[in-house]
Amino acid sequence: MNFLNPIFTEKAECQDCYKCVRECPVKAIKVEGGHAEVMKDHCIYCGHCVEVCPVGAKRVREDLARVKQLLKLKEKVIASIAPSFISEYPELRPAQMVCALKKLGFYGVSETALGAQNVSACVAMMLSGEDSGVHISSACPTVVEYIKKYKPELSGYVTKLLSPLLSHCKLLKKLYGDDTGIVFIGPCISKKKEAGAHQNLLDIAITFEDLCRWFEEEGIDPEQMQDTKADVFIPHTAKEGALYPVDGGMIAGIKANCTTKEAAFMTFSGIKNFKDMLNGLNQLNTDSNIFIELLSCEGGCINGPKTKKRSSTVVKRFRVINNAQYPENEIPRKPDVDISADILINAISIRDYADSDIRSVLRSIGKFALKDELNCSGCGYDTCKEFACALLDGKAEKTMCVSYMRKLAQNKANALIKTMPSGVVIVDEKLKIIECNLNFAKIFGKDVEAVFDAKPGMEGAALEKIVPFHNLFKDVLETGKELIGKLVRYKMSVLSASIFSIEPNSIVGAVIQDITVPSVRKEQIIHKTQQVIRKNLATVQKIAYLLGENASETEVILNSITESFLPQHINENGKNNE
Amino acid sequence: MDKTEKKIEISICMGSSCFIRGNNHSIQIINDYIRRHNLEDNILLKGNLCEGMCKLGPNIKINGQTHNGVDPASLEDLLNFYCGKVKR
Repeated sequence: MNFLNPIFTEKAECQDCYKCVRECPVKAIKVEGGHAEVMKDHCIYCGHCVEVCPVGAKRVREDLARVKQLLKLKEKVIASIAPSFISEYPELRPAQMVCALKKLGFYGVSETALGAQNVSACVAMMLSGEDSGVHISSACPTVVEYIKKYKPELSGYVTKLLSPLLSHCKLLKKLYGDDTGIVFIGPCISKKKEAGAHQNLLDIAITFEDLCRWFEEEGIDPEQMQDTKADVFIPHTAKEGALYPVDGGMIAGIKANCTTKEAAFMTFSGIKNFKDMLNGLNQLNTDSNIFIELLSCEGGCINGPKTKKRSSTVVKRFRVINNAQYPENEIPRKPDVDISADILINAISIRDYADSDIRSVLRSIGKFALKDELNCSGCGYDTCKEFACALLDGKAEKTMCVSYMRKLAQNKANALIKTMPSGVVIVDEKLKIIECNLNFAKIFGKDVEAVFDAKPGMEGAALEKIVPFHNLFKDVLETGKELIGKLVRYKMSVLSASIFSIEPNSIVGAVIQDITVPSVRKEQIIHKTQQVIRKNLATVQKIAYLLGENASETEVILNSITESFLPQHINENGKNNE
Repeated sequence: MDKTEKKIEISICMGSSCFIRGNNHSIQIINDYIRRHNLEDNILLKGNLCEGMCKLGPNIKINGQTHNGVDPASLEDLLNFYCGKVKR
């Protein structure tokens, strides 16, 4: 089969909540790219994920189109209806159901319970035979799937018989010919898998939900059906087999057929219960006959995953019990068809990882010591170790670890806030500081800086006492509109503040810059440069002054020397001057 | 296989409506099916143009019989139905 798995994920709808991982009893969910996907080799088709998915992203394959096609292709198509229909359609008389299904195009309607009666007869024979020991019922396909995949060592205990449904199919094929098409209608998802694996016996399995939709599409209201005498189950109505959909019902059926009282009978329903039971089975040390009826759904098939509501068990049970009969002339029955079957083991290999591998994976998600392993199961796995193994299996992603992601996000934010050159502050709706950085404290003066030094981050401090323009914060909180590059005056400087919502109406952040700081520096530079120029000028002037003085002094002295050598001086003192 | 036995003739609508509604994948599925079951000699696969039944599509004709609304899952059933005996 290369078409869809009976259970699949509608990827676009999956919102990575990991609820399916948490709830899956066998952890058959792979998370890839934030989307959960059913691993079909690991899945036991219990349908639990379909039920718990909060956004309805887990879907069950709808096979109505196939059934409609089958009705066209094959001349005779018989509906095998699960005995739980009696509790699913309480308002309906069986004849009306037969009539409605025939109207959809079925040749006839037969009760799966007939197959169950055959199984009961075979089990009764087996128990009275020589082969004593533990026998586990093969009726529930999910149970069989679980044992095949996860408890292969116990598969020898499973009765080597076809399930009631397949036994019924075999009976129908024997009675109505090999070419007869068979469609199962019931509360079970696992049956779809069974149909896929046994195409030669069972063509298609649909759920009660599918059937309701089909009735709606065709405009058929089964309750309004006017049934005739011909509208009866073929080949005849089921009797004690109708008890199968309640837990303990199979055993009641077997006991009715059993002549021996040697076997101990037990019933477990619900996945957790039967898993626990199987885990303890090896402690059982006895040679006597034990028959164990296991059903995946708690309370039995009447609470199957595709029943309308999985509650009011007592009403449902009563209807089922009331419907069954024990005709004395028929019981004990003889098996009507041979239903021996082999259980093919299909064990899932569970890899064991070395401690060192697990530890290195744990380190990669920030879990360095035992105390870091929170085992919070936020990722869906019960323990951090299991999660690490899932990571090693490749079916999980690191981002599934909530504490790791939180730490990572916080570290990123912290590093950013710390290294930012501007002041950053984040406040809550009461204007109490959630976080701020050193630059923020510096802008608002020495006192604030001192407080920051004492308590880095200043968590809980009142913004009103630090920032005079806290009204702006209030506005952003109320309106949700951000302010970008708003200029505010603070003491001697002008601040540019960008205030924005982080969580609308509850947390706002702000980036604040003192835009006056750089211009102050510029003035200083200008001032210093001018000083240098002035000093330079002064020196030049001084040098010029000294030079000038020196020059004039020299001039005076030289003039006096020149004068002393003039002729009039000689005339006055001698005769040869002219 | 007996040479005289008639081949199963599959004609898949390649009109734009059927093509886009699934027949583009269906060819792949049929080819896979043929390969998986070694039916190369038993099946004649061909395409046809729109036959005016777009509303009921995607349509696939097998041995002259038209099948409407064939999705991948029902296609597998169809092939099993027609080829079941040859397969064995």
